[in-house]
Amino acid sequence: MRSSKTTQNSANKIRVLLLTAIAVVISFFLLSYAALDIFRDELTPEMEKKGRALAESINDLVLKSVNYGVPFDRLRGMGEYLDTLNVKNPEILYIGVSDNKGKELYKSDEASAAATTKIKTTSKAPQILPSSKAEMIVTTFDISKDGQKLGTIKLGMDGKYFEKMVDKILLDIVTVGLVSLLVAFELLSFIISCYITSPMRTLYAYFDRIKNKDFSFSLVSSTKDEAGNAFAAANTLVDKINLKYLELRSRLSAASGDPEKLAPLRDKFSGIESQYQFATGTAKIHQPEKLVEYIKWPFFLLIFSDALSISFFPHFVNSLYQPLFGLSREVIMGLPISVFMLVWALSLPWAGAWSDRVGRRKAFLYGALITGIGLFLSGTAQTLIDLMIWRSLTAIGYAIVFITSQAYINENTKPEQRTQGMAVFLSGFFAGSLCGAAIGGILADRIGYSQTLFVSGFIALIAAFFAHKFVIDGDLSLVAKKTKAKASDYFRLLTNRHFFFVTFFSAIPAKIALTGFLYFCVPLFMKMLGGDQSSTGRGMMAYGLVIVFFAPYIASHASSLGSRKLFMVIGGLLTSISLFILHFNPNIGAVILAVAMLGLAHAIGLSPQFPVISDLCADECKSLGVGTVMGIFRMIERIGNVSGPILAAVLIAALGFEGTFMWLGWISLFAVVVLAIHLFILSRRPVASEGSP
Amino acid sequence: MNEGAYKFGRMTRRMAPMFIVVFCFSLLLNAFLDYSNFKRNHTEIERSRFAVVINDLQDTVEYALNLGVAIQDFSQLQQMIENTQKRYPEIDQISVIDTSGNSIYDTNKLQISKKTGKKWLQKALAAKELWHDAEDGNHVIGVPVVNSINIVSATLVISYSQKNLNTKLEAVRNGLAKVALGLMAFFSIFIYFGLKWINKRYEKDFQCMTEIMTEGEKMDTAQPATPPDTLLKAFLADSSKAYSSLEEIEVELAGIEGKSK
Repeated sequence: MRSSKTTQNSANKIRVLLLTAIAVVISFFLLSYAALDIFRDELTPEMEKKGRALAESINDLVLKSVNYGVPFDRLRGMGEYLDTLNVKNPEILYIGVSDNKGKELYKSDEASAAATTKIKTTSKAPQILPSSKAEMIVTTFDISKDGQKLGTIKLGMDGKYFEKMVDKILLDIVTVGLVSLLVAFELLSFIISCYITSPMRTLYAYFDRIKNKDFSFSLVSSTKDEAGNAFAAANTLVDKINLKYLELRSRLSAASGDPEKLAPLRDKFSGIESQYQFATGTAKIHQPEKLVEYIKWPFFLLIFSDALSISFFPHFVNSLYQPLFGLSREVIMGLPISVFMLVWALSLPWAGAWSDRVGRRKAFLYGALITGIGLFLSGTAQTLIDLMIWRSLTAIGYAIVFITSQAYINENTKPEQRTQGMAVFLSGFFAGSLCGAAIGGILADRIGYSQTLFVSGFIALIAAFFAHKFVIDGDLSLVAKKTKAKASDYFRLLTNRHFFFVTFFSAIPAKIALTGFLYFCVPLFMKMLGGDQSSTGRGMMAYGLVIVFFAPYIASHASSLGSRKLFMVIGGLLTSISLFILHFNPNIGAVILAVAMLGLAHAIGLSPQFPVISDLCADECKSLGVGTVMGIFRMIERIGNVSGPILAAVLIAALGFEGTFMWLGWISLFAVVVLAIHLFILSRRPVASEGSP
Repeated sequence: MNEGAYKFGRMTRRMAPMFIVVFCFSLLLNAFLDYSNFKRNHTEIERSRFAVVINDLQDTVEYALNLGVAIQDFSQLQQMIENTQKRYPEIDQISVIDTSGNSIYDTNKLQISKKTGKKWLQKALAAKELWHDAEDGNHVIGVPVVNSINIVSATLVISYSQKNLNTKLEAVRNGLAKVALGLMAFFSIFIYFGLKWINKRYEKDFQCMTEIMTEGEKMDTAQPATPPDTLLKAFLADSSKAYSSLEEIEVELAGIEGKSK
């Protein structure tokens, strides 16, 4: 029954997603079609005015020459002049001047023969003949001297101009549509969990309790929907039994009949009391089933909000540039990203402990509020110092939310479901990142950097609202007390060569590529190549998109130590290839390819890192605990997050972008070669005991 | 059953608003993209139109400079810029500014020989080619005028009103808003009924459970309907068993109490 319910849930998710897709696609199409009509109505007169201005300019020039005595049919350089006009006004496909008999005397070279044959209509008076069907809208103007017509100027405007105008934002519209569907999908998982899956599971768990003869609990539902009604019906039924029990108990204790007859009855009643548990006072609360999706939606929203600024953040920093500590402009531009990463990394241990203490709901709520305020204040920053302070505040909030979400998922999944739980966490993270990067670029192009950051802040507040309303706290006393890693633990792990090589030659280079290349170089380089914020956002979206699609597949194939080692090496190689691509082929297409390849490299190479460590450092994991080893690994790899932007900035200042890509590529390649030598040549002998006494 | 009679479709009523909000938000974002696209294109068309006008003036002035006429002595220029302004009613002002920022010729005659106090002056004096800006509700387009030895002699500036753009923007805003609102209304209803159809099965499941449990409250030994679920069946059976055990004692107790009376 339960498995059929799961299938039914999946089928219904697909149905709801299809429903949303139909609504989004059809409405987007209709809106774009209507916009095309509106544009045509409103811009045609403007095109006409522009055509008139051009024609008057040509007319003035022709008359000036004719007045100097140059014959109308022998104006030298007229073709070149018309060419210049054609180049400056790409929406004009054809410019021609003919004599009063209609013979074409001059035309721009740009107006090719093909274009000439496309002329559908001509008119005698200056007139626009708008038609979406015509490939060229032709306007004619008379050239007259002293009331006598000398000839005609013909301007052929691109009949598809309006369509091309709508096409210009087609990619943006498609991006908005895709992001809407992704958001709808995330929302769907959340809603189905809240309103269907969780109540259903709660009800079944309650039935299970009754099966175990425990009537001392009652269900709580804040909703007045179908699920709420079912809860109420179950409560009424159980209440009736409890009431009957209480009534009987008081009657038995007050009964005054024959004691010999009453005694067996009381024994029988005691038998029932020992068999069943009834509610003697207020019934205890049967806790609703908590699902990881409860936190996934607010987490997705929060990541979405922060990622809105990814595609333009270095440009925003640049707009606030001021000389600081004698550092180069590039280094200063990388500084706020590094400061964010540093504060985030340093806040994580504290944030985790605080979250354990106050509970997940409160921690997420405050974390999201702090992030929202930080993002909002970042938008108001007037100086670089302001910005770094507000980014640090954002990083604290972000760290709280990040660690709280992970902890919530850990607490609400059984050990065998933990991998699946982490997949939910990662899919929320990457889906939020890619949606945020894409929409952030589009918004920044239209409303500006600061305003986009205000929108980010607002979305973070929405995440706080959802967390406040839906995240359910568990029993805080059950939260496992974590032991703090000691300096000796760090020392012990760092002296284990497997831990050292995986951390310093795989994890840190991967993080350098992430923050140094993706977050810092890509926005700057895309702009240098002439890309706008929207295309930068779309380009950066490729990273998350590739991870979302490939990571689950890779995870399912990295089952043995050998395959994990191989994946780490392949990931490192792909990282260096993605950087070399840009060194040899610096264009926008190559940037998107490089970003997608980095996504693939990380999808392949990141997830096996810790499993390899836990396999190769089994003794350390046993004696220090897997949690501690993982904590130390995560802490050290953040050196890469912090140093990435600074390293990239220093390289850009010294070598320019192409040199930077080459050097980052060499660094990655060097790291992966050393790692491969270590993993496949030097570590063929088992060294499990290394580092242990 | 508890207070509040059963209301079918409440689950959909709770779910639908969230989807409708996401849908409306994406549609509004799309409309906003169209709107800003129109604004950008209109601004570019208008700017390129006045670029044609200012380039014509630039050619004429540079031609005169190349013939050796000093810009201050080019007396026909005042008439020329006044004629151009008459030809294009959207033009608010045409100025010819010297390299120190003073107006030499101006359609606003009060401005002649005075230093321009506009914010775009620095941009104008530094420009090497066509530039544009916006100030005080007007668009500004300018171009430097260079002499035969490629030295900037003056800057031509045309300031034209944004009224035309604003009127068009209002029309586009209204047009897009009407379409977007219509689509929102239609598709919100579509989403609502679509969700209702999809949720029907869940709602029926819960409804069925509710009805069976409500019937089960009578604690009859024979259940009124076959529960669709084994766990629900067990729940009803266990409840009924517990209840009848209690009832059994109650009957016996009543018997004892009756005899003693």
